[in-house]
Amino acid sequence: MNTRTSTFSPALRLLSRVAAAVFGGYALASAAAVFLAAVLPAGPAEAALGGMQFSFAIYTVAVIWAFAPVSLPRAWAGLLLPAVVLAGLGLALRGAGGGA
Amino acid sequence: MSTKATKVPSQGGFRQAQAWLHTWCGLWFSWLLFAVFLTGTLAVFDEPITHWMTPEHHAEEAAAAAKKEKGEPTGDRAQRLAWGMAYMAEHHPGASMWELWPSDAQGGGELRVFWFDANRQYAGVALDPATGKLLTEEGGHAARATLGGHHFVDFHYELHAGTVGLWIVGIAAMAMLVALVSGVITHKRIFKDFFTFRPKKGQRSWLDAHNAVAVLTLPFQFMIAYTGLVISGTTFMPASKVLHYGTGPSAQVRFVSELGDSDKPAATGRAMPVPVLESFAARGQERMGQPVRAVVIDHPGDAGARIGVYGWNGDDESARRLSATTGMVQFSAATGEVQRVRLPGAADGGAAMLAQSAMSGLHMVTFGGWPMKWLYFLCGLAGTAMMGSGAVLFIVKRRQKHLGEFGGATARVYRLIEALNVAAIAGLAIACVGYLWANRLVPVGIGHRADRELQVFFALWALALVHAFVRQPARAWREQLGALAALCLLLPVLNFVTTGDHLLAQLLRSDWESLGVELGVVAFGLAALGALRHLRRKVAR
Amino acid sequence: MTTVWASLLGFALAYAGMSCLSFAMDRHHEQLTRGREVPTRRRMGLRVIGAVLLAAAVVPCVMAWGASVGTVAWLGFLSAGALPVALLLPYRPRAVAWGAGAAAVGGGAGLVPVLAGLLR
Repeated sequence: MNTRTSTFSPALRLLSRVAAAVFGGYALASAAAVFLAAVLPAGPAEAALGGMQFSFAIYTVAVIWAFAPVSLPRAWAGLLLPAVVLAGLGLALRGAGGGA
Repeated sequence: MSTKATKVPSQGGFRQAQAWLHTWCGLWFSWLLFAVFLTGTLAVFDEPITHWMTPEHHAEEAAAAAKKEKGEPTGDRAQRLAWGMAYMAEHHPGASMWELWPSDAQGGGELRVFWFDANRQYAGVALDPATGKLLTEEGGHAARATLGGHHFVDFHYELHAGTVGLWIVGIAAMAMLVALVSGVITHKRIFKDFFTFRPKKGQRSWLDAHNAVAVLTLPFQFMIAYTGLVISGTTFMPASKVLHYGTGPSAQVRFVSELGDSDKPAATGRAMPVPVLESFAARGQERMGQPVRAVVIDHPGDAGARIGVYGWNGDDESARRLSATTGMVQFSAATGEVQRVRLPGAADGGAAMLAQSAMSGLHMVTFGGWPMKWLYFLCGLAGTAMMGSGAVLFIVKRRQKHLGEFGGATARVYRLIEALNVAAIAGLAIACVGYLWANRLVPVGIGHRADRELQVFFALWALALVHAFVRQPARAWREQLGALAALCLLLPVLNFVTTGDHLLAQLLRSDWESLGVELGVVAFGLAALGALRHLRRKVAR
Repeated sequence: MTTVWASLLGFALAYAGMSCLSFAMDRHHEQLTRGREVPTRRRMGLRVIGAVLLAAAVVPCVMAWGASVGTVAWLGFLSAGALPVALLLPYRPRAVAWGAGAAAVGGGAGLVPVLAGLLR
């Protein structure tokens, strides 16, 4: 894994890590908000608001994770995989959780 | 560019990576956050500052307060509501909502009207409470047109730049959360060094000071950054809202109405004039047990119209409640029936709405009265000091030892950072007190007067930035701190020369707001003087 | 209880409590007494007294502001009480200690009527 990442210059790798923190973190926070909006036991508007209220804590943790000493691909994967799963679950559950 | 700044330490483990994150995330946002914190701290006292900045109002305010003390009504609410309604009927007959504010919390003072315009944007004007005529900026009162302390409120969350400014401050708040968490992780001896401050030891002292103000007020710093984000959270993080409501203005309207007001009536299409409002206001006041703040008419002119009466929270009520929600009573305009009653402090919706309301109350310190405001002021100053000391620490560390993070450009980047430090810290403070000077020196009655005061604020800040680049850093610090001290310490003199008011007169007439503002500014001036003396002694050594 | 009175009591108790906690640490004990290490029993005593004073500071806050606002106020006073301890210790350790004693006595005395009222 080290050999793969080191083919890029340090500046590029830093850029990638900052992008992971800023955009990957935002994607994860948004996905978590979507998931919470679908599962929180409240009407759709309240649940959406509740999801938003938690999302900034998740964003913070995501940025901290992006600057953990793990390889770049793992940093990205650790953000995007849960984001995809949470967003997918949120979309799938929308009818059941919020639409009632 | 292969330099040290671009190299996140990957060997040193978690803590070192977090130290890197804290240093750079903190540095690049420290200047903006310093400005947000200093102005936000001043915004705690926006009303006293506005009071000081509108000396022509003092007599009127004192008279209203005296009347209130005697229990006399200070204005005819029925007449004001009728004026407001007449204005709306003439100028905004097609609006879907009218909102009339017939008085201030003291029962006198002002008459303001608001409505949704054709683009569903919220808009409003002020009417003369004595005649019902439109107040223009120049006309009406002889009082000097000014944004007053509200300038600091506006600036600290949107930099007077609307949505763009809101986003910039939001990003900075997010960076602050990250810097707080990474800072705590980096700080190895958080409990051992809890009370540690070692003065006169250069870099060590700056680090101690930075740690002490941050660690000792950490709950406040987390709270203020988080609640600040959540207040505008549906703008920053719209995904969960979009999931249920989609995008666009109509989605936003639906979201907001479902949040607070799920039983809003539809217009019937049958015309019906708006009934006389005073009887609704009086019944609403009795039902919720609060004086009337606003009367809101949904679908005015329609048979399905609804009239909502909102209250003012009294001092005792707001002291004990985090949520600043007031009482509210809704009536059917056609039948006069009561449709819904919200008691003071209750939220319209469920837990999330209550949390939202409590968080906004927490951020804006709408609770607890004056002691809480002073506590917020103190903790806000600690936050400001945290930003300032962090920025200075960065460069002090590198004055001792060149770290060469930017390769060949390092010296130039350090010089840039030094200048930005001076302008962001001393320069912004000069701009803030300069804004108060402008209030006394810009002639009363000229056009766009409020904007002129703002221009002085921004011009002084820009000037400080230029000065910081032109002069050597050590000189720039001394000169700007000297200017700051002079402007602060001479403010009472300026006030005396321009308005004839002075500290003793303020004390004698128990004008604690004016007295507090001037003594506060003098205290800032003394602090600047202290910093200046410290720097001089360092040069002499 | 008025909020001004509650603020004075809350701040005094928080400041006294934070001072006790600081003097239970070797570094600050040394600033005060020149003794290198805090004797174990004194350390425990200072910590217990400090914790009790900090906990006591919540009483006036909740009495004046109610449970929710009172808790926020209490957290605020803990910060406000700790700041002068940290910033004054290197300059005037003895003044910090004397001030803490006075604040503890004053704050405790201020609480007596409250506690008496609760017992009745």
